[in-house]
Amino acid sequence: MTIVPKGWVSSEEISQRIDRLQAQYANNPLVKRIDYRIGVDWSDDPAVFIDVTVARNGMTPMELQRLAEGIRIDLLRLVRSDEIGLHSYLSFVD
Amino acid sequence: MVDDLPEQLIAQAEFLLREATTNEANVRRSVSAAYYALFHLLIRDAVKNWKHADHHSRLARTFDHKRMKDASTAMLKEGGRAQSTEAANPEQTVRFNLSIVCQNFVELQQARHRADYDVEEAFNPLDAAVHVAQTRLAFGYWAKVKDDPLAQGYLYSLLFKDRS
Repeated sequence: MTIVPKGWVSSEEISQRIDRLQAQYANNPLVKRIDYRIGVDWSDDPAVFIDVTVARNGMTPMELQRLAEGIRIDLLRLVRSDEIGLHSYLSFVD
Repeated sequence: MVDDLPEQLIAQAEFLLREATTNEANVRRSVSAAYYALFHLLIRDAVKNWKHADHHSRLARTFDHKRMKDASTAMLKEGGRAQSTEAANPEQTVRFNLSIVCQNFVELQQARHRADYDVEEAFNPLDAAVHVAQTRLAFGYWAKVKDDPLAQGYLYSLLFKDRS
């Protein structure tokens, strides 16, 4: 279970929101996995850091950009972590 | 003020990734340049609202990264469920487009900090490429909304905090 400092939103609530994103991409062949961790950002504000591991084999730069844009839009639609005081930061890894 | 600095910076970020030698320094500088491209784009459009052009550069110097981040996350918090479908009304569409800009700004700030200061691990070129491409997209989203009252309110909030 992710440890969230006292006073922050519950880890369960964050987990439920990230679950929506993971479910959205569960069957996407371009996405291997989506992991997350809670931490603080450059200004010491609480944040959720989301790592998207992509399957690069055969993926064109355009496909990668479309995927990145789609996930960012889904962050706004499905996760909306700013509502609960956490900004979501995306990183793409391979 | 150098009026086309934002466009020069995003072009520099793309050049560093696509045409320059791929090395750690160029990857990191591309992310930094992408952040400052969006940073200066927003500042340029904000200071244009000040009618005395000879004050623009001084006014531009007063913008603060943290204040701009807080204003952007506040906009995202107010945004509610983002709408981009054809069923969305015009206000929802503007809010959605502006949310994309805010989201990219906050993301880029963190990435820029990592690129400039966190040298523990190599900066993934894949991640840098995504940041630079998303910045270019953010320029497009901003162009669509910048004259809308909601976007103008966002520009105001980048500099001024309302009394509570």
